[in-house]
Amino acid sequence: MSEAVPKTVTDANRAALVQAAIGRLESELVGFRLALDTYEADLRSLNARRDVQRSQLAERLDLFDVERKAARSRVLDIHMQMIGATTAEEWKKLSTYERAALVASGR
Amino acid sequence: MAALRRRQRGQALIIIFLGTLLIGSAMSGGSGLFHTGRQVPELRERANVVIQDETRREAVGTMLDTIEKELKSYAGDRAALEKDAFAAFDNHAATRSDFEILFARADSLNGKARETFLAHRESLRSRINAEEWTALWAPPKTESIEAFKNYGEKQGQ
Repeated sequence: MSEAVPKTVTDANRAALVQAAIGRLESELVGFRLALDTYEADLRSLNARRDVQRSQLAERLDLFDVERKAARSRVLDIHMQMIGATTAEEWKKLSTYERAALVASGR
Repeated sequence: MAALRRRQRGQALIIIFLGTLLIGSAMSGGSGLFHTGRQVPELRERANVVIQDETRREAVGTMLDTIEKELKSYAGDRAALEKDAFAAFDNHAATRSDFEILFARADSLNGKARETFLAHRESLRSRINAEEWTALWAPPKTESIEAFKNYGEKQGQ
């Protein structure tokens, strides 16, 4: 996506805004990955103990959900910044990269 | 080169995590039931071995059938939601409100999945004793490097 920006967004200022947004998106997803790894490890370990109560599991599920929703909101902000820095025609080209990634993420 | 690798890593991360990021993962399928790395057919097989009592074994088998059915239905709902979310990301005209509507749908689906997950675990817990529980969820044994070496040496003899 980053490589496609200079070819697609001809205005240097807007291109810089999009590049910066892509960098932030990457950082955001790296942070989310760490949270997800910790969450899955915690769930695995909690579930393995039969004495763990419903409320304890619920607490961990809810904690992750708070983190996830906050990350999702930041990702949406970044996405809207990219939209704001591109024209519909430019986004049509750039979104093909995002689209491929998003489709694969659903599998 | 490093920049290219960083970009590629960014793309891969988007591929893997955006579905979970958007919708949540209270009732995971991909990372195994309850995020344990174990899929339902494998758990059913293990339950058949570790639960000696026939009545409880059958009850657990029926529960696992129900869980499997619900996971399939959840996967269908999730796929439909992901499709709409992807279309919104493609659409330059999609507004923040459009996304908020999608997120509300996602949160509702995830909320239901959360309840289902917690309820099923409680039901399983009521039918499986502590010893069986440990055997059922025990992590798969991984062969050590030494074991592989020994195996290779034996094959070479």
